[in-house]
Amino acid sequence: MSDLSAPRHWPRGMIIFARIICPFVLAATFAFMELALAYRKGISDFTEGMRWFIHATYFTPFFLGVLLGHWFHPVPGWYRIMNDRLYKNKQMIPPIILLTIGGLLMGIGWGIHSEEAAPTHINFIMVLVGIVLGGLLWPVRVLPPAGR
Amino acid sequence: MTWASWTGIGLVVFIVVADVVLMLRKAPDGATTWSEILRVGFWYTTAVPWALSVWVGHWFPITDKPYFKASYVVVLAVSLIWVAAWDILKRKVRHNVVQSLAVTLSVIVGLIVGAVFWPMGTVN
Repeated sequence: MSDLSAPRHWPRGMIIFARIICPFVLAATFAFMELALAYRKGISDFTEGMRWFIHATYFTPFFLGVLLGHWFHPVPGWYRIMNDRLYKNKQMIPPIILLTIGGLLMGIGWGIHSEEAAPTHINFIMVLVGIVLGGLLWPVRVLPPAGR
Repeated sequence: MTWASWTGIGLVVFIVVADVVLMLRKAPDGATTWSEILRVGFWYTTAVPWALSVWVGHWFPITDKPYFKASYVVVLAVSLIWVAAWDILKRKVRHNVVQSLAVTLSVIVGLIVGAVFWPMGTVN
C-alpha cells in the first residue's frame, strides 16, 4: 500500500507523511465507497452493506490476491526485470494496470451478480487470478536481510 | 461490539503504531515501504505469507461449510508444523530455490487450507 505513496526520491518528511496518511486514506476510501453503495442498495447496516459489496463484485478478492502476489512472488530478480527494464522505474504503472483490470472485473461481477451474492468458488478463483497477475506485473523489490 | 469489530480496531491501532515507529526509527534491513517490510519479514519466518494466505482463504472459501466440525483445529496444527518445518529448512539450506519454494507453496497451500478447513462464518 505504501508503494503508491512513498517514492524513494521524495524528501524524508514527505515519505513520513505518506506513510502515516496512507492507511487513513485507504480506510476513508473504503468507508465512503461503502456508504455510497449501502445507500444505493437501501442497506442501513454498515457490515451488511460491506458483506454485500464483497460478494457482489470481484474487486476485493482480486485485489487481496494481487497484494499476496505482489508481496510474495517467487523470483527475487523479477523486480529488476519488470521495474527497471519494462516500467523504466515508473512505479505507478503496475498499480494503474492492475486497478484497470480490477475495475473491469468489478464491472463484470456487478453486472452478473448485482442482486445476489457471487457463487462461493468465484471469489476464490479471483484471488488466484490476482495472485498470478500481482506477482507477474507488480513484483515487490526483494531486499536481502542484514548480514547476508 | 463483536470480536470481529475489536479485531478491526486492533488492526487499525497496529498500523498507526507501526507507522509512528517506522517514522521514528529506520525500517528493518533498509526497507522503505510496507511491502518491502513484509517481504523482508519472510526471510526470518514463513509465518508471514502463510498467515496472510490462510486469512484470505478464510474470507473467500471454496466450500460453504468446513469438512468436519472444529476443523479449524487442523488449520492451527498444520500452521504450526508448516511454519516450523520451512523455517528450519530455510536455515539449513540457504539456497534461492528453497526460498522460492517456501514462499510460493506457503501462499498456495495456505490459501487452500484457509478456504477448505476454515471457511468464513464457521468460527465465532
